[in-house]
Amino acid sequence: MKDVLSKFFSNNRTEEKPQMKISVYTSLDQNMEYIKNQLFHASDLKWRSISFNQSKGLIVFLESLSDLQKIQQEIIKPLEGKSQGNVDEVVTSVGITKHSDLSEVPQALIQGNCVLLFEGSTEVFIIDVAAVNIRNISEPANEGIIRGAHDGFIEHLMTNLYLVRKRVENPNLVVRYYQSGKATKTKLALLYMQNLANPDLIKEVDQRINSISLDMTLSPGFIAEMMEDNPSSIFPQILLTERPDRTAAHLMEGRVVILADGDPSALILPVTFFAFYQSPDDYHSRWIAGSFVRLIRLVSFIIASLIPALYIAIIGFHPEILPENLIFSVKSSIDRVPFPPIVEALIMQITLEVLREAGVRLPSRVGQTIGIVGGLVIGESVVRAGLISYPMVIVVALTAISSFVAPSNEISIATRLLGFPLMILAALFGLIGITFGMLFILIHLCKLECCGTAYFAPVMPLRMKDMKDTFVRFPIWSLNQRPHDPHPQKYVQERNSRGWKQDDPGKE
Amino acid sequence: MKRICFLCLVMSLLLFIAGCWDQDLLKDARLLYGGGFDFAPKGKLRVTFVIQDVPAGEQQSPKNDIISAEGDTPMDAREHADDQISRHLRSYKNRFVLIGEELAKQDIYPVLEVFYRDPKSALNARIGVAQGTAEDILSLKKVGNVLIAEEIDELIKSKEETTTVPKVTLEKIYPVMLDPGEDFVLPYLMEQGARVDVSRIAMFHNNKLTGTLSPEESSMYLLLKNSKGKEARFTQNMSSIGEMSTTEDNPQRRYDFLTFNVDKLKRKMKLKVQSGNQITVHLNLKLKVSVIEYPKDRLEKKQVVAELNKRLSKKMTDLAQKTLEHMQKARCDGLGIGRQLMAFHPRVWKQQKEEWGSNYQKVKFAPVIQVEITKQGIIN
Repeated sequence: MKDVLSKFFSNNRTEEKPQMKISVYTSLDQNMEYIKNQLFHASDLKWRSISFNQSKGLIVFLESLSDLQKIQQEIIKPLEGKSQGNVDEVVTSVGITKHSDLSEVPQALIQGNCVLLFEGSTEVFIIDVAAVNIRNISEPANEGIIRGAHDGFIEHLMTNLYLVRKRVENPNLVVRYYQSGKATKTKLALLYMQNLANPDLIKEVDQRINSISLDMTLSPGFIAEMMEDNPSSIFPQILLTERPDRTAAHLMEGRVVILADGDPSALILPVTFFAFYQSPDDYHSRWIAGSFVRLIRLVSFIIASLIPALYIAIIGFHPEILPENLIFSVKSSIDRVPFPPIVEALIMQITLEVLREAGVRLPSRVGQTIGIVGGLVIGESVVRAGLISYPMVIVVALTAISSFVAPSNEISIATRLLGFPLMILAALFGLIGITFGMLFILIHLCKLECCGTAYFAPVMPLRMKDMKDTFVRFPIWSLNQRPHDPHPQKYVQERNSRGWKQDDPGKE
Repeated sequence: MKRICFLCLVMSLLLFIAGCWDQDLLKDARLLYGGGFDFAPKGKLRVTFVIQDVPAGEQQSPKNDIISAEGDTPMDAREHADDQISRHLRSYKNRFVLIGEELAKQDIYPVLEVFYRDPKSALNARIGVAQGTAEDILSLKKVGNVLIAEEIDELIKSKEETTTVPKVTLEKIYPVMLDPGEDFVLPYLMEQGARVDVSRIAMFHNNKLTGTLSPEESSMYLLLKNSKGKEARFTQNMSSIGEMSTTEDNPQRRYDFLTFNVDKLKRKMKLKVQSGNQITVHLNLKLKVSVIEYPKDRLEKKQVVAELNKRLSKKMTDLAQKTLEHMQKARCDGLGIGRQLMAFHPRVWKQQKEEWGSNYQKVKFAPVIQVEITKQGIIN
């Protein structure tokens, strides 16, 4: 058994050989030939000849990646104007480096640099002239809030770093670059607070990022999957967010953030189960309102995962627990249904999932069709035709709405998935089955870990002080300590903010 | 590899063939709404079941289906009833149990035993005694516009609130049935011109029906038992004896009656055992009442109210006396005097428990009811 499993999840890796070093040729044509060959005569590879210090030179760049304006302003103009002197001093670009290894040149070109070659010289200049084409900073559509900052991460790493740095203006905020993806060379940035984050945690994360070895890192989902402690769990263990304010808040709790170039999602770890049910809105609204909303979100988790199973168990095994006024209306509706409750529930749940998925993919112009098909056909006709009962439709609708309440898409899908095994257990064993299912889920939650911190943290291991910001949100001035789950170096985060209240004896 | 395939097959098969052995689909159930038990010849039991069906659709009203069957025991009779209907008869939403008068005069415990044994039975079902047979009452099918089953359930419920009948369910009478020191009472249902009347109490002794109380006495019993419902109303004739207006054909007669509602009730019961094992029960009731109807007087004068208090106290004390007499006659120890004896005079109880029924009849009751009018309405 184990052999087969390990075959499925085998982790074979072969180390790539490092490239041979090639020194720069003295002949310009030879160098050019080499670059052209290395880039397989790409059509967007352009060059322009110039003369400087009485020697012939060549500017080579990829027109798709380089900012032509920059080349003209910062390289060609000064070189033509001075026509004598030191290249380092004449060129006005910010990033300029000297290299003697020609094999580095193709990679530099691919990253949007331009290369300056001179006849007879064994050194090349690599100058950063990368074009920046980015979209505007806008609010993430799937993490909208009512009050608070309305900016969001975009696909450009530097902008994202700017957004975080701007929020945490502190030299302790450390940014470390990594490269992942043997072929795509995706740039990653690891962010943490030097004075807050636990050194062991940083070491662990560093080790995990360095061990990533794959050709392409397309999305942070890849990185998350590489780094998660328990990849086969149904629960997400790394929080993905597109909100800079959420990211900054987690940084200040001593957590670690990973940003990837080309993707607007930030990975936050280690997080607890309850972090998925927190939203910046909780902190922007008044604390009573915030607590109420958060409680509703957590209740919705229970509703979304449990209600279909409960319905099946009651209809199939324990109808006596329905009050007498309810039982007759429920009974009149289910009397015509030809399927057993589990089939009924599965049909509706799968229809719902299909509708949801279709809603995501459909262009907005045909989006209205979904409303009509979903709302009318599924909701109404299915009952009229006697295929599904009204209570089942209500249960499924309730499940769907409750699952979408979660501020994180990952946990929303997890809750709906969680409903399926519970439904099967309910159909087999009734309420007993649900009890055992819940037991397994709880045990699993208690066992889960994320980079050495407990996933179900303030509940298991129990810490009453962290409860202040778990099920409800206490007033900010009462949250004097950071949550203990990421083991930050400093616990105190709030001192006597409302000290003015006692400090004014003269006033009545 | 073969073994793994085999294991997977077994696992998935187990998933599909297991379970469902104790499935009890609501879809396949016919729900019993109420049941009646009657005495049938040859020592048999005749059961009448009301089954409520709700047809699908939004504007459809529920319908009652009434079936009767005979058998040796309630369960036996139920099986015979089940033979006559489609799907399975399920009694977990049973709302009431009616017992015919003839059957109630025998021991009712064996009739009810199945309700206590079955874990799924509805223990919160109401229970009552039907004048004549339960079948006759249930065969009414409809009372006015209401189905008979709903009518009986709702009627008893509303009468519980007006302190007319006791709040009894199957669950509540079970401990009393097993207790030698207390007897229970049940609502007494009467058929009156295609309607059901619930205003009396049926008294039991040793699980056997021994008599009934009149509507006024029923309410008084509940006051004495210290179990007032939401409201308790009495109407008393206030004319002093010898006055002209008391005669029945005098049109002024309507001025004489006073209706009041008991707002607050304080009861003190004291049991005293004197020499010769004479048991005396002192029942002190303090009633704070509000006048609801009294055409004669606006009641703004204090001495008028004081006079009325006095007269009402006297009338109520008389009523209490009458009620207790009737109860003693029926040997129904509805106030739990035996239980008090057990607790406070165990020696006396030991001597008397053998013949408690007849000894109970020798108990002296000394009820004193003080009525105080506290509210007169908004007339002045």
